Amino acid sequence: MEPEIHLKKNVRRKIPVVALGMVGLFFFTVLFGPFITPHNPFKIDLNNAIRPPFWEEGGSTRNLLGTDAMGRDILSRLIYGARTSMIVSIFAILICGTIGVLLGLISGYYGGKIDTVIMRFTDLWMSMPTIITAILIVSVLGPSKKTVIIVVGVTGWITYARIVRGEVLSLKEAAFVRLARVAGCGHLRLIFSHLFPNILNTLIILVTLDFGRVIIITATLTFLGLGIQPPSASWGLMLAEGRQYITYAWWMTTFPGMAILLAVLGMNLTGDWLRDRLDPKQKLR
Amino acid sequence: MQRYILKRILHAIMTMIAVTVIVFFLQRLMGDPVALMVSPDADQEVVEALTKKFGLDQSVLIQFLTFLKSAAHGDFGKSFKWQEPALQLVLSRFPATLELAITAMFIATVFGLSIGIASAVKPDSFFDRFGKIFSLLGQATPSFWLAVMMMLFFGVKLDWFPISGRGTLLHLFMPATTIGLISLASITRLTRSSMIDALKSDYIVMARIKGVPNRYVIMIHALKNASIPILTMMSIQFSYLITGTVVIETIFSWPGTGRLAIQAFLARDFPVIQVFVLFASFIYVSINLMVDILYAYIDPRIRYQ
Repeated sequence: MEPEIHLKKNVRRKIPVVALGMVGLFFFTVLFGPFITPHNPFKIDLNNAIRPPFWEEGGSTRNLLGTDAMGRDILSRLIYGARTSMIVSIFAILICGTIGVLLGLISGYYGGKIDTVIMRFTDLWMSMPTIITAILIVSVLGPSKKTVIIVVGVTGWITYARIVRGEVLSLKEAAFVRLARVAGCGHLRLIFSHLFPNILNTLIILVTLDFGRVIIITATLTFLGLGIQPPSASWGLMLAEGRQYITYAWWMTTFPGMAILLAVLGMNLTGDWLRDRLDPKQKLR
Repeated sequence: MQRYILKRILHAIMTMIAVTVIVFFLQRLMGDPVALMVSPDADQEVVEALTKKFGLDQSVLIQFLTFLKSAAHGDFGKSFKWQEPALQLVLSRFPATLELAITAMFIATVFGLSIGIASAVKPDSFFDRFGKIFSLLGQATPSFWLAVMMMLFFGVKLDWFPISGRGTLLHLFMPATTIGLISLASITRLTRSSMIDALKSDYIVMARIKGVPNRYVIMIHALKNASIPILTMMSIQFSYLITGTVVIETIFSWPGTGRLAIQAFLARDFPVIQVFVLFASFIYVSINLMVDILYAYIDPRIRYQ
């Protein structure tokens, strides 16, 4: 008789449906945002100001999540806020990812003096807490969406650089690299065609997990007045504006915050799942 | 050991020098401070007089050296907005921030370590599951939203705590807890995973075979070896703490350096911004230095790097 092999149910790889759903929703709003907003998020309607969500007294199904102080529909602003967050995050991650990966690749591959210099530079950058660098840069460039992207990009490359450098250091000794060198492969080609594809897995995980940091720091800077300026629809701004009405209009601050929480949670959970699938050696913590 | 400490101190000093240079030159890029101080149609003579008074007509290098000279005397200029010496202004607000930061760090560390260790010792228990969910949520929550929600719930709806200002322990509770909770989430998560890894090691099995009481095994052997990544995380948390105090102080109108920094920024008060950045960097670099030295005590291998 054949031995029966029972696989426990939780040994099978679980796909985090909820997390991917949240991320999917997030991306969906980015692509189709303008088409699915029930109202114009910028249209001011003072007659309709400070309406509660539809399940409360005074609310109506016209504005499902209520309106803000200027009568703008909160749900529509949330959706537009998602787009803004996404766009800012993507560009910011592009910046810090590019800087970090390049520095990490160079530092790890060439080693020696170049490595020391780059690592010293990394140490220096790390000793400036994000908010400090943010205040400095925004003081010079003035608060705006572009400035936020620059600030978030420029303060976040360290993690990428360190991790990529670590990967390159261990890959450098691998057989395929040595064989390529023996075959006469030039440095640049080695770095970009051989080393880089092998760090892609780690990079994907890193990017996914970094989204959370980027979204939160963007919202924080915007909330403090250092970022995206009104009348843009940004989650941080919605929270800042709603703060004054907190005693009688709880929805103006609760919903934007929940949106941030869900977006970050979705990205973090997805990142964790990717890490379980793509990084069995747990190189990334 | 001494060589290591000396190296770290040197490193800290060089970092501070680099930060000072960056801050100074970045400030100069901000445009003409005189133009911001006078009205657009001011007399040319007034503009020139002010330029001379602040030494802005001299070369950048000389301005930098003058800046360093006055800085050595503790003179960082006068705040435009409050008309007080900038350094004194920042220092006067610092005790309030320190109170907030220490309380928050205490909450985060004590509870973070406890929950993390307890979760690691009994993985997949009900307590552990709760801890995991709590960590996940905590890491995804923006601090300013948590602050506003706490304000709403505990301050407005329940009316247990005052929602602004500083004074009693009641005033301290919400701000400190907000910062602390978010830090706690990260510390718990890392403590748990570090401890679980440490507890799997051979030396732990050996200690148990030898008959070492369980609490020693956990608290001394496992914790000591798990503490390096935890310490690293805590110094990163400290960096977050600086950001956190800026945000939370603004929301709760807590009279600390963080709120001062934002007010100075909004008023384009350069001397105060400058001092704040230098001061905060100094604190951060010092804390890192202390953590580095602590590493060397905990892990003898590091002393020989």
